[in-house]
Amino acid sequence: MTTDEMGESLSMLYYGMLFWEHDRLDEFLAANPDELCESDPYEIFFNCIGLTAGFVWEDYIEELGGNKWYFSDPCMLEYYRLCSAYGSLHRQKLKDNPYVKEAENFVDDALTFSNGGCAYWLLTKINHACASGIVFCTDENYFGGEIELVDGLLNVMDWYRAACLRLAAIIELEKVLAFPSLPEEMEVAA
Amino acid sequence: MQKIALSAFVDAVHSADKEPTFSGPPVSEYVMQNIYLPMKEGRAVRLSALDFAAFSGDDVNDLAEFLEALSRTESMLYGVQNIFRGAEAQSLDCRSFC
Repeated sequence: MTTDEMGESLSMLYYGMLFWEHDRLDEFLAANPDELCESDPYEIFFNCIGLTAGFVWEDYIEELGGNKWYFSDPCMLEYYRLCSAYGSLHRQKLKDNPYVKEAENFVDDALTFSNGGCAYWLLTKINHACASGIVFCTDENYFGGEIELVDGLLNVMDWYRAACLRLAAIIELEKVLAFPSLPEEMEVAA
Repeated sequence: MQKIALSAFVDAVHSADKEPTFSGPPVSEYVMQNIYLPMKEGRAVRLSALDFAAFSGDDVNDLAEFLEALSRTESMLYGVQNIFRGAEAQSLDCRSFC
């Protein structure tokens, strides 16, 4: 293998390392060759970005001069269902919900790249299977953060999965605490 | 026409013995032994066989810098090689030494 070919095989190594860090190397290897070889970085990027969420949609938008992506995952839908349940318990609007704000902050940190050339927004609806997700737009002339985007999305989906468990536990606890099971509380309630 | 000063070239070849061989930026031992050398020798490097805990993204960046430096050096050497390959030897009209 020539020196230049070796250099062009390194993007496989970068992406492989990302998926290994997220305990998802098997998924990466199912979509990409196992052997390091000279490869088109965009081909690997497209293979990898398809693995970051349960539903990934992409299209080139001529008026935008770049790509528009939509990433949705069951863990995002579940999280916003839990946020809604938490909001019902506390009679809170979605915009006042601290867990919605926490997710916004995390996604903002994960998907804000110093080089720019991109923009995103969060969808937090829960009325159908892909209602919660991230719309991500890239400018074909300025965006160069493909590896960072895959890394950011892997981090975001890991965060939502962990946050679902945490929020579900908080809601269960609050339901138990709110239930008037102690005799004194039952007397007061009566 | 490309002219090559043979005496200067002979001097340069003699002094080349003292020139250091290529040494790029430092790269981790694991990356050199398990990624760079097998690829250089045409042996397969399988991602599933790598110990990702033994190196970091920075180590891969170091390898990328090493390969860029090596590629630049190779380009320079190819440039020199092409000068000699393209040169047509022409004798002088008269003897310049006796």
